[in-house]
Amino acid sequence: MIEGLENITEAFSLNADNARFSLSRTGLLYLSVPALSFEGRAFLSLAFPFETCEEYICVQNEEKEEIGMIRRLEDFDEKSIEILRGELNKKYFAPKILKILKLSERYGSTYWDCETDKGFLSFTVKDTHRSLIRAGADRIFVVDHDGCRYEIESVEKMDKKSHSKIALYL
Amino acid sequence: MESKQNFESAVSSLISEIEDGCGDRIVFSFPINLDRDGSVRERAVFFGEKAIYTASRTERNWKSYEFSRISDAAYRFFSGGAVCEILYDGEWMEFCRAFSSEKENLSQFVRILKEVSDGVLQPKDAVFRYRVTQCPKCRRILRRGVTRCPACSDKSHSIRHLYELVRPQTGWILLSMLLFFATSALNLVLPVIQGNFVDKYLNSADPAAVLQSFSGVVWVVVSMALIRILLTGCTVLRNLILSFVSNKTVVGLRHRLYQKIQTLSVAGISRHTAGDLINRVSGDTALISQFLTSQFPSILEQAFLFLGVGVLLFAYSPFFAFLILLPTPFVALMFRFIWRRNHRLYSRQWVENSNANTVLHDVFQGVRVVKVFGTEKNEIEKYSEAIKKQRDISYRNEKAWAKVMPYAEYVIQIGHYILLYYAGTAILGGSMTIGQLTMFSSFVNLLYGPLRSMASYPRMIQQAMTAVTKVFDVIDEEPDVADKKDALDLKIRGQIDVEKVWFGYDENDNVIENVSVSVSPGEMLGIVGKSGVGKSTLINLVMRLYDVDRGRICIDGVDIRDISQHSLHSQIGVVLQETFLFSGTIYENLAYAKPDATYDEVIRAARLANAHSFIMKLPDGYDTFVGEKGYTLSGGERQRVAIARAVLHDPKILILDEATSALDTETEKQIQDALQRLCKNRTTIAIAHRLSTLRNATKILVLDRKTVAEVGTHEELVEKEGGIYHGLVLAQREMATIRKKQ
Repeated sequence: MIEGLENITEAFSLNADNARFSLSRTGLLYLSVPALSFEGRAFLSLAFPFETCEEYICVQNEEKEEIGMIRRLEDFDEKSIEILRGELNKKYFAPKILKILKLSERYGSTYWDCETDKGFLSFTVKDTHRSLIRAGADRIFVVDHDGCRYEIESVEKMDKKSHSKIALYL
Repeated sequence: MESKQNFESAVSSLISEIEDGCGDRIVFSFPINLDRDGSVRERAVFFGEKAIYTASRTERNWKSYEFSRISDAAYRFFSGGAVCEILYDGEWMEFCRAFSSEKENLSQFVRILKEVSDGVLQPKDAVFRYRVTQCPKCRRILRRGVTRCPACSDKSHSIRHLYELVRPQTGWILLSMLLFFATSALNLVLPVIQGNFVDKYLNSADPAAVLQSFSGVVWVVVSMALIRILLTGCTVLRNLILSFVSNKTVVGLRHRLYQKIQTLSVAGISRHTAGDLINRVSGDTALISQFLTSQFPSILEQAFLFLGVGVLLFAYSPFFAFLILLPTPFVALMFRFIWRRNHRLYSRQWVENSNANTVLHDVFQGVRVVKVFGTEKNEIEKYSEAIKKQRDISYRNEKAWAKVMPYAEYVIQIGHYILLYYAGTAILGGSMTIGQLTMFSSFVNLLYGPLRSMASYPRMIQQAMTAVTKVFDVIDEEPDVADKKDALDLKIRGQIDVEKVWFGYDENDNVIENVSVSVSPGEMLGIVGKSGVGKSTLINLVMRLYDVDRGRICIDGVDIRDISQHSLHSQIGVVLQETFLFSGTIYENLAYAKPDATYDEVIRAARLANAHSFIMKLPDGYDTFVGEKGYTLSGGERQRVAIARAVLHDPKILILDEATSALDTETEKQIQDALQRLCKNRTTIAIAHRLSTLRNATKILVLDRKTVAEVGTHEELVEKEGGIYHGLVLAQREMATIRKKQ
């Protein structure tokens, strides 16, 4: 895009050939990139967390400085993919809503009782219409008043009762 | 609830187990609901005198981590929660993780843990304040720092707030109530007179006798007309009183709310959006006022009428009363059904209206960007989309009512038909007169009026209660930065001492750590450092826009938390990079700093700020209207007006935050000159990216990685090879050389 400034516009692309991810004895993510003489803890950040969760993954060091960018998760071997997926799941923690058991409204907030893949969860959403973030045609993130996210993978595939509860906010 | 009690008892028994098993004493504990593998599970964290522990309710296999082996602790965010990591036996490990709702407790725990590992706190002296963000009973979101739910601790709090509002107008409200009562009573008298009139005169068995007592007919007609006049008089008077009370209440409430917003800290105000606050001040207050002075009395009037008619009907004929009231529960059920379905649509409609307004607001604010990028068509489409959504929701809403209301009317009318049937039969049988039928018909019409109103009452009440909650949420908010009762009004000399200050906008993330620096009266302190190292934060703390988390800032030896904010702010002057001018004239903007300034003083200040010459080139001089945010002036002109404003303010302490960074060289020189004059004999704190502007600084503070990296004079720091300041100077010299070559 801007010739001569590639060192600024282009990130170091991390892939199976130049980087090795591993978990420490205590389960923390470590990265080794010989070409950059980097060896240490690594932290993952998605560039487009609502759009794609396996592409454009920025890898940072403890100082939050970018080490490099993973363009696609599939650029790595199975074992690394498993490690990275596990880390991303921890970082972008969003229980999946399977069923909305109760959704009531009071004091300008909505109160949700849901069955999720992590178990039964109750949470409160302020300014509900604006706290439902569309991530594609049918996928939705509900952000509660504390900032915790809950994912509805497909609104259309929800059971009828749950769908009717959430329909008015969509 | 049962589960909660079980968990609490489980925690208590775990404490006993840990204390007995490890010979430790638990200082505090708190619950978390997330496991290290990301599954939701009830867990608890225990902080003892010897170690920290974590255990789940079900497994109960607590694990201990001794303080002697913990050398550091870290708090890290993730989307939806936070993690506490500890450096245990030289290796980082995850101790526990928690939901966002629990992160404040976790961050407090990490802070305590760090202090213990740093050796500045003994575990037994740790003080932990458990924080809740939601009422465990009604799940209402609690304001920051509030641990008791106001709604649950005082069930009548909304009604109490409402009463508080109208209390000054109690006399007028009572009078209007009396008038409501009178109009209801008069409305009831009319059908009785009409019924008697029909029976006695119109449908009399002896027409000759009627003709003889013609004066009686006249009297009935006159009395009906008089009652009607009285009714109109009462209604007019009532409306006048309500209009007076309504205006008085809304002005009072807006004044109170606005006054409160002004006392909130920057952090407090930042928690709301500008649109939200404007909506509360103008929209919600109007809604409350309207409810109190119009809708609530109307509900009362309808209730009086309903009860009055009901009592009269039962007194005349319990059977007919029963027939007339027969449709009531069905209509109530229909309205309840549609209300339950539609009340969310109403709130959705409100959101869509607000969204459409936001689109307009954004475009008008950023009209230059729209024009420059030629995106007018996109903006038109965006607004069309927003108003289409608005239209669709409104249509869905109205459609529901349009469908149900005719059925409701029909059900209501059924009562009328049943009455007609039985009344007709009774008249033919001779047990009822036509006059009584007329009276009953009028009563039915009076009775069904309140019934029809039931359709709109829940919405009115809901809207009003929501508005009360929103308005009083702000009014009841405790300011984060508050004056002490015995706050001092200090005449500032200008000595500033920043002592071991720690602060973070978010409690979980420090922006500055352990910063100390002193400035003597009349000296200039320069602050430099990369973006985000906490330069502006430090001056925000000196201005006490926020309170420090740890340490203290003293002015003339007095902690700024002991000085009244008015006294402090009135003696501090600020010139920021992004200058804000109010919509008004240049003179009004200058005099903002000193409303009683004379024309001479204003002109002198403008001359000192190198602003006078450009102002006098404008056709209207000092009376030039600067437009919203002063956009009719250039950046340099706005900056000079801001400096003149600071000059007029004549502060003891002057704060300059990148005051010249966005200007061309010529303008910068003019402003530098102005600033130099302004700084003379004042304690000055200046942030600057262009290091040349800090040549005159008595002392330069270099911030890096949240803390003080270097302190010294310009000369001292330049000589310090390998230092940050030295590096910055070299980099700027290189840039200057490149520019010259170009």
